[in-house]
Amino acid sequence: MKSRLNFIFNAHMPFVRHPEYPKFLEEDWLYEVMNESYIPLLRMMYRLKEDNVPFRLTFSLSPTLCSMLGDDLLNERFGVYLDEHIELGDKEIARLESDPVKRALATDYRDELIANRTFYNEFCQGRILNAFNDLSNQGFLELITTAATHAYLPVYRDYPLAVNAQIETGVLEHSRIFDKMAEGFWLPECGYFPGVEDYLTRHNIRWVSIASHSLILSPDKPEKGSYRPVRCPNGLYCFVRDERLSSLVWSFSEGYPTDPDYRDFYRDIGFDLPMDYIRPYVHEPDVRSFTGYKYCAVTGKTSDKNVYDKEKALQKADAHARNFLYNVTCKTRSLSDVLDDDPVYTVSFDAELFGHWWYEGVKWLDNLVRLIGKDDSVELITPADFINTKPEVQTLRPALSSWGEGGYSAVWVDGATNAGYYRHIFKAIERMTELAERFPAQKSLKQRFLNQAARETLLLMASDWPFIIHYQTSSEYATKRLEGHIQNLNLVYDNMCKNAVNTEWLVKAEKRDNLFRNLDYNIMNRAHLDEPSPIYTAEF
Amino acid sequence: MILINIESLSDNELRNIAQQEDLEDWETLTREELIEGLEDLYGEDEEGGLDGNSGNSKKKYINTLTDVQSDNVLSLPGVERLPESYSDTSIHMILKDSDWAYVFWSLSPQQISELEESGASLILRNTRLSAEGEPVAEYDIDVTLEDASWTVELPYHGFGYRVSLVAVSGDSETVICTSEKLVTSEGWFCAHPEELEDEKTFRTVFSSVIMKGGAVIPNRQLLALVERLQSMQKQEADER
Repeated sequence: MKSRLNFIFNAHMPFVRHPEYPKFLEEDWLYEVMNESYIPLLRMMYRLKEDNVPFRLTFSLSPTLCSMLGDDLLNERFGVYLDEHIELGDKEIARLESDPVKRALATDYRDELIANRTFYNEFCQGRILNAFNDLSNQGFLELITTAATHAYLPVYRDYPLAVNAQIETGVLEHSRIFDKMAEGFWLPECGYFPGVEDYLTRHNIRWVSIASHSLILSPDKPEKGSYRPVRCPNGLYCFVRDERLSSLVWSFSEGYPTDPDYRDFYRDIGFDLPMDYIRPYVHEPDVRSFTGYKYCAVTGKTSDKNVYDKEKALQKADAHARNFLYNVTCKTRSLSDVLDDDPVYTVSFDAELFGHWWYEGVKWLDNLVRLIGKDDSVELITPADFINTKPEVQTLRPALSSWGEGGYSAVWVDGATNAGYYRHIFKAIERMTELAERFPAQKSLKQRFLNQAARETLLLMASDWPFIIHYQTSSEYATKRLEGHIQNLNLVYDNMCKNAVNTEWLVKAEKRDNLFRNLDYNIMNRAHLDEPSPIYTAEF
Repeated sequence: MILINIESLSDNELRNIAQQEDLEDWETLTREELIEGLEDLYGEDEEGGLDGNSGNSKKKYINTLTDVQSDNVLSLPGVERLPESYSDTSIHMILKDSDWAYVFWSLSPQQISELEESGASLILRNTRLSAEGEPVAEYDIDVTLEDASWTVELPYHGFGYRVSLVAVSGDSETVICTSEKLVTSEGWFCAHPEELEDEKTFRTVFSSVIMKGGAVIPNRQLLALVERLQSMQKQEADER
């Protein structure tokens, strides 16, 4: 029996772009994951290719992330970010002259930054989406899309237009950017609700991934457990996430990244060194932030951390790759008497876990793919590979689910910190629909005004804001964003009710929130759902 | 001064004005019918007074709008804070997990005035519905005019639920607003836990949700299912 491993990586960042400021703290979220995750992952995949290691992986690239990765201003700022951090590396190497262990680490970080800059500038020509597309065209990656702003869809089930707008915009953006249709759709936060499949197949989506309990708690009896995809009654394939295998990596209590020898994420010189030294590399006014220069190992639940030993950590990454493969093969062996087909294991993660949160994660993945390349009993596949074999699968109705805490919606609707915003978000959606229906087929200024209102509505629905507010990480910023988008939508609504356009606001808003350039506000008109799905034309 | 053109009013605003003016069948009228009805109504006051050129009728629209839109319109072009409430009456229910839903509502200023004047009390009614959508059970929660949200329990799976705000005055009840129906599902194995007593079935189904340490992922329904299985096994062992 052969194990088929289906790795899905969800690459997503909320749309954060502030041209009104010369430097903006929350924009660093993007630069950090570009430097620490996306570029290292791409470089790793090109190394695999050069070494003739076969692999097939799936990446969901969210439309907000794609918008930012294709944006001139943000790319220019990323270039500055790289230069500044290389400069900081030079300073660190000089500062640590008498500490050879940390000095070697600083040198590694600086050299990685230089290698990333070379790859980004020379190979990608400043557009890393080109590299993802190249690997896809060469048959290594299946690229898929997700909701326009990564909205957590189950909370919007009473708003068909809003759900459709999120899905349709995601599909259109993917088609525009990559010159091909996405066959798969990443349900943000694995958030599935019965009925969402109708919106997806409307736009030619063939598959999604769902949480295990979505299958186990189905009103229909699941015949093959999580080890074979199922189809919804409307034909959409669902690949069921294997929680056990995924948790070997992604678990706060027992996942590989918690190993004491791995590098600690939180201890960073941006927080540990005197402000006078670090000031040029953090934010005004003296707001400390991550720099990427980290010298401590996880060690344990103590503030007294060991110095990071990279050699030891890389050996661990190798051991953990072998352990993962061992778990896969053991699992297949243990299921061989109950399954009559090769099992398909779907394991999915946020792409930013690799490299950014888990520094050695890229190396772990590299090791694993190389091990699988030499092992005939395990094969890497993508969902489209599986579907193209025209497999016989069970038809079943999945149950409501997410991969969030508790398995449902309690993270995004917690009743304490974030639920109160839905009053305003729902009203904004209703108002946007009302505007689209009262003012259909507008031209020129009003059309731009209404298109911007539609962008604000989509941005408002992002899953990131309630998530951040729930976990109290950067809740002040998330709150401001939520309130700002609500206010923007209300402003357009009130202006349009007076038959007016606030051009000063419009020009600023178009410059700031410049994503989804082809978005047509009529997508929020109920008549739109009666029309056939748009024909996709690409501009790549 | 805001010059109001009746064509520029939203459907909700038109409906609010129509309700305030006791326009017949205001709830079911289309936008065109609402405009026509209001034009007729105000036309009686003053000839040609609906295009914003007539003092009295213009004033009337402004007053009505000011009533229903609070300071939202007046604070244009910038809005510095979120409105505390909106002008319409509505209620929504969002599922938090398999057993609980977050419910929030808003009441229009007219609705609040009516409730205050009548002295009616307010209840939040949670109605359980059959597969055919027929009410099978309900429970009430006393709420006040100051309340705007609640977390309600959905105790039985495999049913639909709908919440309503109801005004109670003496023996009479008036439903103010009702949410969309929310359907919960009951898992096949929840209805047939005995099927999981078969070791092979259990392994096929549950092995993907048992973590390295042996614990099932923290999902309320899965944990309840495991508990039922354990209890069934204990009972069988006791009987043996």
